[in-house]
Amino acid sequence: MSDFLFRINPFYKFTFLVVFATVITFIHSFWMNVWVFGACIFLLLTGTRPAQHIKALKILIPVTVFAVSLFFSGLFFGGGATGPFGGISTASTQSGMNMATRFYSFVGIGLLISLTTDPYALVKSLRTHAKLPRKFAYGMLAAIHLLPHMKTEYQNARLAFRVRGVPVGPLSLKPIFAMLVNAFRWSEMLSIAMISRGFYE
Amino acid sequence: MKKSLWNLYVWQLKDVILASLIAVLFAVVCYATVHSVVFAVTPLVTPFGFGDIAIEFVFGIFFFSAIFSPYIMQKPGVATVVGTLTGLIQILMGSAFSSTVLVSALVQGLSAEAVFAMFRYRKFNWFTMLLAALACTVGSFVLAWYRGLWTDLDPGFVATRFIIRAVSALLISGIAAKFLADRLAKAGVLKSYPLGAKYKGEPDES
Amino acid sequence: MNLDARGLTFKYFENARQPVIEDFSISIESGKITLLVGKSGCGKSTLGYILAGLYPENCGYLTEGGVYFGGVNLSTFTPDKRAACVSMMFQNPDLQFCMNHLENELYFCLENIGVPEPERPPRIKTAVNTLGISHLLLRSFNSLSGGEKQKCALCCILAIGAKCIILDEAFANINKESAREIIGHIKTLGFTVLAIDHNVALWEGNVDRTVSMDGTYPKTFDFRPTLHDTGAEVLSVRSLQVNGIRYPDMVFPKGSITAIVGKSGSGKTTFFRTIIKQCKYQGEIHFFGRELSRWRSKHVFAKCGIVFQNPSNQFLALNAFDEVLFSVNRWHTGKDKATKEKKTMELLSVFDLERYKKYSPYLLSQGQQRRLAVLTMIAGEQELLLLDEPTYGQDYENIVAIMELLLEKARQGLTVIFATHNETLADLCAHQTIRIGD
Repeated sequence: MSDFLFRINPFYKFTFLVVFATVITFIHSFWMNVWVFGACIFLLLTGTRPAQHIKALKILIPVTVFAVSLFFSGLFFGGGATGPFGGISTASTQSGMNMATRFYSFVGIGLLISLTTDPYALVKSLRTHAKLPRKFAYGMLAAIHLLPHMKTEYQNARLAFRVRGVPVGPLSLKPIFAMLVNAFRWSEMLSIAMISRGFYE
Repeated sequence: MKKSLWNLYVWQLKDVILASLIAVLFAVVCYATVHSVVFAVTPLVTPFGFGDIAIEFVFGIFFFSAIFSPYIMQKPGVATVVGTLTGLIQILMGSAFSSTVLVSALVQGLSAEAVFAMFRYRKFNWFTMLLAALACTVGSFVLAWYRGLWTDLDPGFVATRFIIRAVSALLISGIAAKFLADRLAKAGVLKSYPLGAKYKGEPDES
Repeated sequence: MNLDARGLTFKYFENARQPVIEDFSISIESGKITLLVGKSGCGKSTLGYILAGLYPENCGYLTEGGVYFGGVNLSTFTPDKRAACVSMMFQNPDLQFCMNHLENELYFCLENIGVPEPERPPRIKTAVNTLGISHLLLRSFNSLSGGEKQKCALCCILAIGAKCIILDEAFANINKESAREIIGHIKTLGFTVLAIDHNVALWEGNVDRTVSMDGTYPKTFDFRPTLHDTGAEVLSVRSLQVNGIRYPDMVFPKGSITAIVGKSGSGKTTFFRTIIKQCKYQGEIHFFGRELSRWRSKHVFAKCGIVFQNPSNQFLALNAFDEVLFSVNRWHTGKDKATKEKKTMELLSVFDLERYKKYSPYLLSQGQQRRLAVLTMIAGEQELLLLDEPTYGQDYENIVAIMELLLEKARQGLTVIFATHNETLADLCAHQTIRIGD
């Protein structure tokens, strides 16, 4: 049990993994997918703490649901097949397996990035190595930091409309409108607060 | 040569925070939608091979920020920068798709940018908004094609996906984005941005 | 060094006819605490932002005059140099940090003003120890109370080394004890202070000078309404427990006004959310003759209205008139259009909002927004009204106007429960005061 993945320079790790993920998009091979995903899981198990393993498991549940559905897409519509239960073949099974494992390999790399990178460390490292301007670095962090606040306000907005007798469905625009109003207000207030603490480019 | 037209947007701190907040907001909305879709709809249609099509119905959400923001700020570079920021924010939030979302977001931003650039950042109306939404659909589709998810799938199946994604993009990132932005302008919230400059949110006689 | 404003004229829009501030001068003496008072909307906050050098740089136009720190015009400073002279504490403690916890925020501040890396940790340590908050260093801001957040804000200012602090209603949403503690720190550290505050009592004994922007001074709170008798019980709570918070037993009779007081985070908002069926609870809540769990949310909303802390979340329309009209329409479906519009105007006039009827609700001040939100809730026939901090950010006149309206409605049978930090108000205007979280 160690946490060596946390100690690698976040920028190099991030760039390597994103470039690696982009490169493997051009290679379509079932076994490569399996190896990539296997390697990712191995790294996660040996290089992170149990808390991260549990998080990974939680993410992998919906991912598996989705991967299964990708497999069926390939099974029924890939490799020459043209519809549900019409012309399942070895080729189409192969196609389904390819699609599902490819998805797993992307997610595996994504897990390596998202579970082993502290946003603050990544932004700091992006500033030194990628010359990310300060206002982008701190502006993004400020927005991320508002995430919990945003969630409660979103729920409050939905509730407020229901109390006023306005039904709100899951895709209703009204609470989103209220949140956009908040976003404009917050961005002004937050930027002024940051400037009052001497923020300067 | 009208030089001023091609000046890139001068990003103020509040614009960066705003763009990031919109990205965070829609990333959360997306995440919630995707999860409810994955758990509620996908298992039902998976046995027929339609499982991963379910996500296409809400795909327009991913383009929202890259089309909404340039409509408000109306300057070169906004679509690309906001598009990319949206991807970065999702990575910082710990998305499971960290490895691919940055490239996707960049491609979507550039696609929208291309449409607004075609009209030299002068026309921001229903037509350009819908066209930008379509451009994002095409851009994201070409990328998905290159990623090889669907190269050997039945063309009819892929075409269906394209149509669903296009309709979703037109509805969510075209129509809903313009509707929301116009309403925000009328509410006087966008006073400091080009779109809201003409609305003060208060009557003239005051 | 003194902070002087000379002959300020400021407007938000280039072509606005009426400037927000016209030819105003003020001198804030070094090492003294100056309290700035005046009615809501007279431009106190705007003046604070100008004095801190944040306006006109970020918003609006300063057509005449200037701000001088020790005789040097503040507009010649870059933001990093300026922050080392004047800094600001804001009303909303949630919207002033860009990092996850205090230590990172302090690093951000020191990086801003160009402190070399090796000097940062000792400087952070000194600032934190001075205020005695080293236990907050690594705690997420989201887990801190309003008072703790404002302490962190003061710590940032201390670390930056600003001599002068401008406080814009910085204590409006935190309890008295925390506010007094922060004021004590400010006093002993010898800051030059301009405080904008409706709640003058908070500063008693620490203020060196009081300046009014428009010639009006806040009155001592002498609003003493005669309380009417109340009716039968409409809501009662017995051995209630929500999310690990234990509540005392409470009974709310028809037509009564109840104040709920307690520290931030003691569960006032949670209590309100429980009443409108948003939280699971253990214990008994008797709501209009039946156990609350047996009511459907929709029917609870028809009985019970609520005004949230952030009222801008509950607006639906693009102007104040339509906003109230919406609620009127919901409750008076049978009546004709003219009657409804007349009713709407009557309601707006209760809080002097008629002249803002075409204004977008989002452009009203915080105080006006809250009053508008109260109107949308009392437009209907709800029998129970919950208000979360209804007097937050309001001046004396408006507090009285809100309380008078609530009293009149209560006399007609509306049961009112409000959460507040203002205990004087609770003592004077409520039939009962319930303290939670002790």
